[in-house]
Amino acid sequence: MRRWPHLAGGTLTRLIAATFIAGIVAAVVASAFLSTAGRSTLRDDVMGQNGVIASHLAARFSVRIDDHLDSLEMLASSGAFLEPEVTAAAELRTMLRASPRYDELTILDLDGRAVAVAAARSVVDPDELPIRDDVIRGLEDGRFVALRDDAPTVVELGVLLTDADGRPLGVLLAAAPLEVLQSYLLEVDPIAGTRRGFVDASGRVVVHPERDLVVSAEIVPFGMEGDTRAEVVRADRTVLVSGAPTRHLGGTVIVEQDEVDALRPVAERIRQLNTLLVAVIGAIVLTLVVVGGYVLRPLRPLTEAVERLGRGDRMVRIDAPGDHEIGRLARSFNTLVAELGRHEHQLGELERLALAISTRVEREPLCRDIVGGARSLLRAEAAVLVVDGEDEEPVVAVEGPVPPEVIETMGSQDAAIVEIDRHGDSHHVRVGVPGADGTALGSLLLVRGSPPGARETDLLASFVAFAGVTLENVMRLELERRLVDELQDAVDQRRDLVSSVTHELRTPLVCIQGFSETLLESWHEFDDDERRGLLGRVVTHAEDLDDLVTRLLDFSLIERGALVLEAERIRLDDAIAEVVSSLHPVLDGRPMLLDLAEVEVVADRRVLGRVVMNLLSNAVKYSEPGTPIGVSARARSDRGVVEVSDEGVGMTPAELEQAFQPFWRAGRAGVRAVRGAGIGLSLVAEYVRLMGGEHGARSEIDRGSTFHFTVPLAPVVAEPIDVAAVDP
Amino acid sequence: MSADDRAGVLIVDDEPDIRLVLRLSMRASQVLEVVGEAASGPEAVDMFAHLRPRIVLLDQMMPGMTGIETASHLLERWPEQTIVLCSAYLDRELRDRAEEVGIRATVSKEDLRVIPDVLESLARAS
Repeated sequence: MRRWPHLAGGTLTRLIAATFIAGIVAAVVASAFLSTAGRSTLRDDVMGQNGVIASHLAARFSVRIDDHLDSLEMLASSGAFLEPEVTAAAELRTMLRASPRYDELTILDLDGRAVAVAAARSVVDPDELPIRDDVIRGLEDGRFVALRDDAPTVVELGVLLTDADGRPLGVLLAAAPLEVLQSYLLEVDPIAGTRRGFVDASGRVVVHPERDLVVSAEIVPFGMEGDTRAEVVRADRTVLVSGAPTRHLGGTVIVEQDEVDALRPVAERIRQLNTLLVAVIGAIVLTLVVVGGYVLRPLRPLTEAVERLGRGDRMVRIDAPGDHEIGRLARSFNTLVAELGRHEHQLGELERLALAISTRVEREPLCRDIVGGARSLLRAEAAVLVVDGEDEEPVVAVEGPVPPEVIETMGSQDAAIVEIDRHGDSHHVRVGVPGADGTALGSLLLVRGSPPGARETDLLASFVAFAGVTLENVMRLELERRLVDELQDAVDQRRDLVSSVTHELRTPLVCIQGFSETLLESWHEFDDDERRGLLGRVVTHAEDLDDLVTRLLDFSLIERGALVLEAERIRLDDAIAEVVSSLHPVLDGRPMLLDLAEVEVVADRRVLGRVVMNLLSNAVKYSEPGTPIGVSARARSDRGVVEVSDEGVGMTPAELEQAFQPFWRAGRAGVRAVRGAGIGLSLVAEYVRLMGGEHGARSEIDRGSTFHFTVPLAPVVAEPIDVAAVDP
Repeated sequence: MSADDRAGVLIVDDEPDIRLVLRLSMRASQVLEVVGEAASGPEAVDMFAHLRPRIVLLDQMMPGMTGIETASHLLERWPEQTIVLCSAYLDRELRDRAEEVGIRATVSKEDLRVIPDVLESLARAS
């Protein structure tokens, strides 16, 4: 079978049509050739063949005439003509009766005059006959043969009469009808469609089976010498003539044949050839059609299949079994379509998974989606994703069975480069999840039985690239959310601060204003003690204001990192006692349980005082009036430890955790005093930190809280220490 | 209701000196008479039941129950009660919330001096 690797169905159809047309043209041309060139050749053949017959007939014709002359000579030599005048006439009549072929017998003298005549059907007077000196002259070797001039249908045969010594006496002349000769022309087996005739020396057709053709001038150009032939058009038909001259008679025996008849076998042959040609071409065309059909038939489903494929049908398959070209083509096509379908399915899957993960806005669900997506995309048994946390714990997402030691060994992976290594029966596929700058955000591990193909690897790389972008966006989003939350918290805290500070400022101001105005307007309505009491309240509120302003200033300085400490060696116990006594009004007559050891520390006196003051006022705020407040100071290893305890409402562990955050105030229902800017404990934490110490608290609900802080002990060698260097 | 027919006022504030200032400011009024002082919302609710003052003067910022919470609690049971909210920090949001629960008037602590006038006009109107 020929290969048709580049032929589309349409081309093949055109090829077959072209072959068909070419065959028809070839048939027409061949037919035309046969009926012109072939025709003339075949005509020559026919005429040559007829010429041979003509020669043969001419020879026989001559032999027959010789036979006639021989028999005449025998008659002449019978001696009966020795006395012609006496016996001739009677003798001739006897001879004539014995020779029925002749119509007339005449004896001529040497001058050509008729001496005696015998005619078969009439009585002729010899004296009335013309002198036949032409016969005497025409004798050749004592013989004469000619057609009679005045009656071309009569042939005259003459022999010389001699005496016993051989001297010429005269001529015995016999006349016979041409029909006699004509029979001779039929002695050779006739050939179908041929006619035989005799043409005299002047070109007249004198013997011919068709009478109407006998006298036809058109045959005149016909040559009389040798074997000759000619085409003659007679009565609207072409006649092929072949001829051969005869001895004695000076004419030609002809064999003629109508061209139509002559060429009938030729026409037959041409017809046969045409038929053959048509058959051959038909066979070729049929072969082409069959072969073409054989080629095209399977191509048609292929064409349809490709069209369906173009319309997006991925389930299309061609059913063409066998090992021939088409079968192989069909199998290749099926494989291609199946591959295409798989590829498209995978791309669709990639798109779907990418779309799914792109909707994620939180890291952990996203990581779970990435792991699940990569696993289903590569049909892996298991998948692990480890995303490095910048300032938090790494996120680990696992799907499927993965040994923990494998997860532990997952290091950072080069971004977007797929590595495959074999572990027993399975393969580990590792790839780094790339961020926008190309560095790896995390590592993805897939466990699979077989190693992935090149396309699967590409698919994984694409997915991982997309996952990386999404992951980075989510991480950025989380960071932004965190920042926004922090910012919002800060804004909220500021607003709360403004609100609290306003309240904190307003209360003493309102009181100062109210008491002052009351005194001014109604001074005389009060006695001295009442006036003193009101003024005392004015002073207390003014001090509150001062304290509040100091705290706010310190808070602001610490926030800006601008609070400068003046560290010195101080007695911790003395400093605490000083604060306790100065806070007398604040303490509101609470029983104070002081347990102060002699401890020397390095600290800023003012700041240390403010720490103790804050803790004490806090204790007062969060405990019932009259309940005791404890303060202790002692040395522990290298630091001094101060504890302030109350028997108040206490705090939950969650509240304890937040207690040192700025702006936080215990807001629980039932808590008596929740006044304040919410910066007291946060200031304590900052002050202590700046002095190089630590702070803490323990608490129990309804049992009270104990706050503590430490400050560095003073060195044994009395030497000033630059605590400012501890500043952040 | 007192004998001289003045409008009874219940002062609710967790700050004792603020209560004192308010009481002093109404000392000379012919229309108002402070009939009680409460240091918290729950205390105010308890006292209200037997004092039945014409007017309740509520501080907003108190531990436990806020002024608004206390007011809505009272108004739920006595919808016609005249309540005045007083706050050091008075913004639009707080005014709107006060109006929602049915508080008659809001005053800033800054305008402590006008509080007796506001209460007097409310007392006359009721």
